[in-house]
Amino acid sequence: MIAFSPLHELGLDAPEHPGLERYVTELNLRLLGLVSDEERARLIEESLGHLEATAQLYEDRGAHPDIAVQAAIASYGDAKSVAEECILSWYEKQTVSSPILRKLGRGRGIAFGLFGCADLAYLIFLQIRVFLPSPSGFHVPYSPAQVRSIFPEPLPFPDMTPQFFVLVGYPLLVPILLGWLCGRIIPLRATQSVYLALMPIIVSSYLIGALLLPSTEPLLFAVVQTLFWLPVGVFSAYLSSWIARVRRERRIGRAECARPPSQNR
Amino acid sequence: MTKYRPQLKIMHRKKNPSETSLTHLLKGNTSVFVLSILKDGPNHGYAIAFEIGRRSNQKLDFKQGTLYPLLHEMEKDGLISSEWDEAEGRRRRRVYALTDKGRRELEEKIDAWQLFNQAMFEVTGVEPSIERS
Repeated sequence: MIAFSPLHELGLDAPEHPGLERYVTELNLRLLGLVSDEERARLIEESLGHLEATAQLYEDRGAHPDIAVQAAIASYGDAKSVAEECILSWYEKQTVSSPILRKLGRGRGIAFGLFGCADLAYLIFLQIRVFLPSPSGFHVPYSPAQVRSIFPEPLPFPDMTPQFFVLVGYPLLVPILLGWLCGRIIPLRATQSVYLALMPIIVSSYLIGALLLPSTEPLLFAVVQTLFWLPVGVFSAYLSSWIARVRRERRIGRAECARPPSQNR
Repeated sequence: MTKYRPQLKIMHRKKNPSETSLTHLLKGNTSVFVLSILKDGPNHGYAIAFEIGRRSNQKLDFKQGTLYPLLHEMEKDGLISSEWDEAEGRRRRRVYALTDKGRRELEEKIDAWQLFNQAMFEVTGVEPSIERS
């Protein structure tokens, strides 16, 4: 039995050819924790049966068992693409009951929800700031002219209040944190989900910014979203999902290394 | 269950542009092929995959492993139902069957395809044919 093989766990008989066991072991490791145990078990059992039947057909036609297994795997698809298809179907369709979310895609829905709420919260904050300016300010040892040389127009004048720190810090941190979160939550195509979710948010921010003129802050926020939120959010999601993928592949690599040398063909 | 003798393609070759277009069309319509095959009676995934290839003269080439997530998805949607088929001396198989909802869905999709074919013929003037040179 190959290390990390799912056959014992699922109560399945070992296939005659170790190549098939290796295949289902890899498939199992790629699915672990990303789809339900029931779905994983069912796909593995069906895959094993399908591959055995295909390999048997090739053998009946005179192919060598090794070649028959290779050909069966080639026609079935490599474990990575089959696992990705299964994860995508499970995450985007099978476990989603809302018709809107199924149409939109759960990943995109999550990214849209997170970034949309962050966008709305900031716009509300900007409006509160207009009508309720902070009475308490921190005094800094610079003249307004010196401060303006660091923060030129059209950047907001740093008034050194807690509100100002929220005003500047929030848009800087949000794409990094939310992009990272999306990369962790969304198992596949997280960057695409973030990108597609941010596009309508940015367009709406420009519209809202234009409506709120002469206050330029909302429009400036739309520019920040285009130039900072979009690339940083997408990159952060990419980095986060890449780390998650590397961890999963290391787990698979450990399983490969744990295999006895005689089976490393 | 239908008796079948699939014709397998062992060698993978580079696809020509029309085959690539066909693959794109296949992606969105695999469920229709599955429903069409199950209309003739319950069948398991292996037979469904090869029946798609056989009926299309191997024109509809796809990775067979991607069929199972689709089958599970269709079952969750209530278009098909499934149960394990256990027999002595071989591994048990999951057999899929068409439901009433699936039958209605298939009829709707076929009607839509007929309309689409008709519209394509009217616009392009190219008559749909089974065998093309």
